[in-house]
Amino acid sequence: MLNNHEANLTDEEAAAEVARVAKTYPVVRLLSADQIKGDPNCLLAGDRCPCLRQSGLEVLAGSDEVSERLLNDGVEYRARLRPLKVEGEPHVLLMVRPIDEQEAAEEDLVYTDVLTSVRNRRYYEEKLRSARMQAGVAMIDLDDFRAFNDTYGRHAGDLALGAVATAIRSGVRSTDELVRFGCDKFVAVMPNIPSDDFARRLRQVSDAVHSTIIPGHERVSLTACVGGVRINGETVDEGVSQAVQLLSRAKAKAGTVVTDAESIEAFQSEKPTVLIVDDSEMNRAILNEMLKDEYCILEADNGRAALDMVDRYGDELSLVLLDIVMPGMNGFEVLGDLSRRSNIDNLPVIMISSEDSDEVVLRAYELGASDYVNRPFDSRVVRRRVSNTIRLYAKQRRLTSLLSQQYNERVKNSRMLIDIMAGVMELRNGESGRHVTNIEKLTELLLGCLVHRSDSISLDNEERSTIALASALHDIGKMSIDDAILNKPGRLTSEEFEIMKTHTTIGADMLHELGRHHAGNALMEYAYQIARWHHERWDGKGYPDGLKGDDIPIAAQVVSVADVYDALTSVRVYKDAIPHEEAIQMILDGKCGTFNPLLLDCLLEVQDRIAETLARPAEVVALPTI
Amino acid sequence: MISMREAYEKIGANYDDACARLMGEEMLARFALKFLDDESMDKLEAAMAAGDAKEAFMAAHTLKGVSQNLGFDNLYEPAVVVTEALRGADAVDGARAGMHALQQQYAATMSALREAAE
Repeated sequence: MLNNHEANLTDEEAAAEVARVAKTYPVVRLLSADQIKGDPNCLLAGDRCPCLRQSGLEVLAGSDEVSERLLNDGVEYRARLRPLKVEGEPHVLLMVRPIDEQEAAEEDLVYTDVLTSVRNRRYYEEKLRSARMQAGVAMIDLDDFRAFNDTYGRHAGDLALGAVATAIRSGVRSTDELVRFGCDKFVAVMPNIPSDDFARRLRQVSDAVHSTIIPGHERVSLTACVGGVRINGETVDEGVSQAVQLLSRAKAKAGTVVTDAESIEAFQSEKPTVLIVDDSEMNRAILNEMLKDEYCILEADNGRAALDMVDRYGDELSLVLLDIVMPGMNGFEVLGDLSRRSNIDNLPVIMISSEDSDEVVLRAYELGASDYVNRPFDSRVVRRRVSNTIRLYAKQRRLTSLLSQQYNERVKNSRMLIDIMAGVMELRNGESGRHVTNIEKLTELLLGCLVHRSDSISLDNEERSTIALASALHDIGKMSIDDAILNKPGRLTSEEFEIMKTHTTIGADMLHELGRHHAGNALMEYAYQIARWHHERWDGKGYPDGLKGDDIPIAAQVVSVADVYDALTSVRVYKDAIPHEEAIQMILDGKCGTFNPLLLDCLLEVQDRIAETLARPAEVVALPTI
Repeated sequence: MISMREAYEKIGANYDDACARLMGEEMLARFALKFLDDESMDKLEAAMAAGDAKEAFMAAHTLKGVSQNLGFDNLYEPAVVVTEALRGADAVDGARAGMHALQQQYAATMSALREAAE
């Protein structure tokens, strides 16, 4: 065997071996130990390629054949370095050939992350990790990605990762290495990059992630924190460890970029701001000294000044360290003031005091303090508590905004679906495009008034808007009523009317059947009550069940009044629109059946607001005819 | 000229603990020397003389906190006595007994710090 140190070749044999491998490798060099150690430049590409010398030295030092992949002038090459002894002297046989397409494709597949198409962890472990180079190494960590995954689902999470990887790619150079390092972590390696360019590109990456549009979740914006260091002949892995440390500093605030090259001043603007409130200058100085490397420090020597600072700096403040015993306004009073203004929800306060009786500590917590630090100050404890609290609050703020974004999106979506369904029903029922909207608005108006006037009915905001939303489905049963009856211009025969009346029970059955998987859902419950009983009347003369008085669920009672009012004031195939005042009077006079007297009071009370709340004809969007 | 450690040991203060808490010897020395300019003892004496219990409590409390932070255990203990004697008090008389020990320790501390500052 020729491919290890044990084989000792003569000069002739070595020349023959070179000639043999030259058939498959266009470039072949037989290098002596002196050549490898002595040549000041790269063995292949001069000073443009720093990597093969290292490999040559490794092979000389006794490792097996080494295989490298390199890029030169846009072409990828496979380089193999094989140990060889010639006339008793250690040599290295260097063989280089361009990588053919098939080999490249196979290699790509093994080293590519399926989800994001960037390099995978295996590539990092096998190709990057131990490489020594001059490069910028950055760890890019998505903020709160797990929460995103949990709330929007895995599929959305996968889409987001793909989009983010593309965004990061756009921020780095085409020759830089990008690896998906962990679930939501990427590593970028940028060889030979100047430090200012490195910092600039990392900020580009952070901006690109922030403006990433996730397909189907256009309103959600992700952020990433970035920690970056430059390595100078250290391994990439050492660079990654340092980058992770910087990252933990960056994590205090979403979307932050921290690099080792940045001056303190440049980092200053990214530092969280901490307000120290203590009447003793000495104590403030000690705390300032402990925290000034990591935070921007503001100081106040009394309670009043502290509150002024909170007002002035608002959201810029990340934390307050607050002494209790101070002349003038004491710490408890400051805390109480902050709680009353509900600042405390977003601004954590850590009490610092030598008062350590349980009573004092408990009182501080009751007033909303996040933590309590006793004197004497211990820099290690103070730093840790401050950074923990700030990170916790920062995370909470981000999660809150993520949740509300998601909630609003959901509400918007279900709203849209119900509007579409209501629109389809209106078309079929020959109603104007505003019947459903009007009933919803009227229902909400009447309910608002009702809970005000009644002692026994208590419905909170959310229940009222759920009922209003459910009202959109009140006539869903008309879907199955024959067109000839539904849109008959003249008066219905008693037989036809009997059929017409079934839209209540049919609608209720439909909701019951279709909503089986949503048993207990408030919207479904209300929709059922409304569909079935919105034609019942207070005196029991309505249909389908002839319910009387408060046996009729309140949601159905309210919608029945709204439905009658809107039917009266709208044009139908069989009638013209009746003016607002006349319609109200007709309802009050019992011309459309009797209603709960309390509801009639409500109708009277809101009658002026009805006209201004309901859609005016100009606002009505004409629905296309099918 | 004596070292800060010697100054601490001379007055019976806890040097090692303060060093560990306050980021090392250099920083501790800086803070300890700053105590030479601290006004809380002057304020306490003035308030005691004026019979202002509230003001005296405030000053004693500050002195207590500062000496605790700097590890001046010798000063902290009499400061606690005076502070507690003044807590919620209408008159300063109850604190007079404790003032003597406090003033003594204060003088010793200041003199040791001055020696270290030379």
